[in-house]
Amino acid sequence: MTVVLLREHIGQSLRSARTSQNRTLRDVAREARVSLGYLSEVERGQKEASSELLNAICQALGLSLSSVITDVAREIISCEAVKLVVVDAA
Amino acid sequence: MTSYRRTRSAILEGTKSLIASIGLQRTNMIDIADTSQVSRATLYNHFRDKSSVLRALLESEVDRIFQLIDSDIPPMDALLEMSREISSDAALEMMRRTDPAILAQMLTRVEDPLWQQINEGFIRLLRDQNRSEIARLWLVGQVMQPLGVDQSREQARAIASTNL
Repeated sequence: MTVVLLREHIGQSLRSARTSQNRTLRDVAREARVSLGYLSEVERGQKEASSELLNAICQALGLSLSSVITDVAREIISCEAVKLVVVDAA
Repeated sequence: MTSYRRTRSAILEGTKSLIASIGLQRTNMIDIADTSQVSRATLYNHFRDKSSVLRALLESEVDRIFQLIDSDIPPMDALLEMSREISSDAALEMMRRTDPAILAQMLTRVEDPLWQQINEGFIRLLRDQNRSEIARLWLVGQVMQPLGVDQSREQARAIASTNL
């Protein structure tokens, strides 16, 4: 069974927000004042963003923290729902 | 960053935005100073003429490629990022209209040591001679014919993941 990791969902949400705005890693990283490599790691769910940096990245993307968290929560709920169905079936 | 370097990068940034709005041919030292918000004396303190500003700008653009290569992001993401930066670059877009001959000349000056550096960078990124060559030509092509976002993504994936 795959484990749901919060940072992976946050990363996916940030990446899809960035790509839907047609923006480059460099552009967002510069605005958020983080390194390009770091932003990439956060987006790929390899690094846990600190609360401060998460704020900075959200701001650079023009998103509110709450909308990202809500988006992520919705994703996690649907992942968990799938898992519960599997558990019930077993 | 020291104030010398800060001024230098402000000049290069100003030059690039000037090229994006009026093209390379019409860009002159006076406008570069004005757009970069430095005095003419300061500008000439950093660069002796327009061609040395342009050379420094070219080198700093190439340096952006190396920043990507050295940032340890996956090759596919690095290629995608380079592709988007080249395909959506406002200065290149203007130059395609106003200075296509200069652009073509820049891309074909293979004896320039910058090309050698770029080649080495791509081999470091992609760890394969053929793949590096394909990636480099793919990006060079985008200077003259930019790609859309989806094309960039699909083609970057194809180059990074093909077994050659």
